[in-house]
Amino acid sequence: MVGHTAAGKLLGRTDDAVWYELAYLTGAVHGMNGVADGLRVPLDFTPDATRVPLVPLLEPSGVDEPVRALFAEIAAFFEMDGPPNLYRVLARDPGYAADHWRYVRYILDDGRLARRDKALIALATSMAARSPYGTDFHARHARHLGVDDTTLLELMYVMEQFHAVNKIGSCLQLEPDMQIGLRA
Amino acid sequence: METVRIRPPEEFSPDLQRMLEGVKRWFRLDFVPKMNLVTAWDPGFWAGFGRCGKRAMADGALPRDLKEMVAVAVSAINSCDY
Repeated sequence: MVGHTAAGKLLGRTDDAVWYELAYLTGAVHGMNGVADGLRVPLDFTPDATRVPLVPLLEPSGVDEPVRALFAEIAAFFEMDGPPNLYRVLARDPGYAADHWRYVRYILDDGRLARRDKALIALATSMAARSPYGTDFHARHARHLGVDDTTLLELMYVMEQFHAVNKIGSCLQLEPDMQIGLRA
Repeated sequence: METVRIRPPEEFSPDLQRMLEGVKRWFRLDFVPKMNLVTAWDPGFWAGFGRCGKRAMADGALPRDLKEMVAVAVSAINSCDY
């Protein structure tokens, strides 16, 4: 992790803001995946009869304002017919869901990193954590934003390399040696 | 602390030393990172692994700096400080 932060900075990504954004994105996606998979929230795009949720999902047609408006905003952002199933659980506490969407929308939308690039990082984060919910969701999101097979395969090659490098480093207990240029 | 001795570049064969010089240029460093020194320890492994790494991380459909960020995200999920 340290090594490739340094490598990214050596390639010109010297502004801390983009690394904060990456950290927020990775953390937020990992948090959502943990809840979705922990509660066995049904996948949004791949039917899987084995995922029986631990708590009932809200029916979008049966919610009142302000949840109705929240669901509509989330569905519009992702260009879906309805809200992601995760929000059908989170919105059981409308205040929590509203605050949650506020930061999730902020971190998934265009920022220092483009929205499409963030979708790819979210997908890589989900796949690295072996999250069925996140992988299903962010794969569709990335595709919807125009990611083609070539790009997806490049992402997989990077992931494969870093799963390998991470484990080689852990097996040999390598200590970071690229703490260069990390801070201005 | 590392569980193996990290062989310094000068102990590698001349061919491998040239490749390790390439690693320094790739990362714009004045030293060879440990990860490359340990994956090059067995030339049979390095021959394919090193090339795959370079191919995976080169500019392509995705730019190299974004790939480095993906690497950081994956490493964070894997709890790998290195």
